[in-house]
Amino acid sequence: MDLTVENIQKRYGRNQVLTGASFDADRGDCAGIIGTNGTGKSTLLRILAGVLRSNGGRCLWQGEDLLKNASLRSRTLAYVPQGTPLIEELSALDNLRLWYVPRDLERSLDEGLLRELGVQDFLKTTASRLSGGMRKRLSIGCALAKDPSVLLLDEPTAALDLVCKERILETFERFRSNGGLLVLVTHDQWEMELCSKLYLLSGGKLSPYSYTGDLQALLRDLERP
Amino acid sequence: MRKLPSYFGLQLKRAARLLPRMLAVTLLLAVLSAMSALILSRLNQDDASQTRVRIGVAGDNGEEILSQALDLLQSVDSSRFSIGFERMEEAEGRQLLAKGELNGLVLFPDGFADALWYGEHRPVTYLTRAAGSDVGSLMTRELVETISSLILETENAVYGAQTLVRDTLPDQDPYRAGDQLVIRYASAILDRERLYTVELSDIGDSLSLAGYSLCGLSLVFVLLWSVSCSPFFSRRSRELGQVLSAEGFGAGGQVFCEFIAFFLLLLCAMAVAGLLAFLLLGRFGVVIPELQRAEGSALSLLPALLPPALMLCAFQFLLYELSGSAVSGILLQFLSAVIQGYLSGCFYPSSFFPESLRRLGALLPAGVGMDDLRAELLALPENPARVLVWAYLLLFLLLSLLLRRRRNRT
Repeated sequence: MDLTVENIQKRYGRNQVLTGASFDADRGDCAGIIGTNGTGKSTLLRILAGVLRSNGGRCLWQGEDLLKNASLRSRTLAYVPQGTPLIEELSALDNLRLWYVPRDLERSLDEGLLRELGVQDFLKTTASRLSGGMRKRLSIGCALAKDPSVLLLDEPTAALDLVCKERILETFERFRSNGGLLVLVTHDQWEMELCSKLYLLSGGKLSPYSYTGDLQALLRDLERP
Repeated sequence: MRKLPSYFGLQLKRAARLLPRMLAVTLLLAVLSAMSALILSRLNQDDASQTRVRIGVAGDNGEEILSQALDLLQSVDSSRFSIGFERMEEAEGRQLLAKGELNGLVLFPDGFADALWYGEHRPVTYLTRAAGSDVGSLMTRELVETISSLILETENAVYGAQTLVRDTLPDQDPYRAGDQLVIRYASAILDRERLYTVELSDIGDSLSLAGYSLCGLSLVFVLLWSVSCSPFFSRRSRELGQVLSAEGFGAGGQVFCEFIAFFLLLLCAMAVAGLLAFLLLGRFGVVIPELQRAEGSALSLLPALLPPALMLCAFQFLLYELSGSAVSGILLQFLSAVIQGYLSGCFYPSSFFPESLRRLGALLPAGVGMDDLRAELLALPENPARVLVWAYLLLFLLLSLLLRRRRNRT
């Protein structure tokens, strides 16, 4: 397996949020993490991204522990949080400039994933004036700047319209087909259908889950303690 | 750290976007500061309209000599700028006293002047407001009592001298000798300017009032200016900080870039305000003695202001890091500016405060800045406050860094 997450633990004071979360995935996979609110899905993603420190566990990429090797982690992973990591007063282009080398930016806008995301349509618009969908597309565009092997996404299409959602999911498909690995936290049916592997987070642990498209069954499984 | 140049560049761009708005606030603050400086400065200049203690004189109607004596006193005595006597009707005086427009009212009984000619004493009434415990009332009451004693004792002395001349120098005219004594007395003793010397204690180790005001108002400007910078801080994205940290561009780099951009904004504002102050002070002919001695203008204060401004800027940055929202940020900045400005003697000399408050004020960032600026303006050979300025700067930046690191991890 290219990515192996083993026994991740996280405690906030006395509250043990993650008691030993483990999963694995290969290049080209899309691993989805589902669960009710407050179970620690975003926390797990932020630990993998290096934003939070875990209280135990490993995250191996091709045998190397990313939690202990910040440089490798930075080269391998890109993280798109739930909110928008943008500089609000500046244009979309300025925001992209923070992450891209000028030559790569031009190329990606001409024929790369940025073009697929439709970022060139609002390059000169100030970030604070962008719609939710545009902001999300721009955030994903920024994360793709370093051509990561693994893309960590926290509810990437939540509250977006169907057209925007489809556009983003298409980009994800292309990313996967190019050998990228997606790890996404989701509540969305469309996103779940995109996933090649699904994991249900409950009681601080992950367990493989098979989504059949039956929402009632999913609801029952989510409510099960 | 590969992100440092691009992040710094973008922070500068953010700052530049906010510049027009900041400059508008700067203009407003600078004009207000200059007006305050002007008023303070004019208060200190010779101008009959700037009387600080106003005393009404009423009674003894029909007696011209009292009015003439008052007119004479007002026109020959330079202390009229501090104390002004005004002839008025008793009813009007009582009304003005009740409104607080008079500090005191002296009531002369009818026939006072005639009685005085014949050596008869009729008590003069001094009216003040109910509490009468403010410094002005206490001083004027004391003054009236002193003058009453002086008149009575002088009168006794004049009569005594006349008797002495009559008994010991029969060839001399005792009345003429009495008149000469009175004239000498009036010119030598009753010249109120010579009755007291004014020493303004602790207005900055011999800083002039104008110099002190310039230091204080410059720091108040720096303190208040940060209120207008809330958009620079409130619109920052916490997620951006977190993602940057995850990418290896940590809290240190982020704080450094943002702080420098914030300080450059302040520099622009200071340059504009300094220029305005220079023009306004020049236009109204206000002279800062310390700068004049060094052959400098208001603009030459700017280099001296840089270290304290840098330190205060770091303090404001820390406050914005502490605040969770735009509203709390603005409130924190404003309250900090007002409280610090007041306790550190930027608005009013701190020597008027109790010792404990003075000590506290001197330790506040604005107090340290005030001491530093004062030492620079006076060109003192040693400036111990400068060490504190750098220490505070490092402390505030370090605290900001720790707060940012914490914020990025939550």
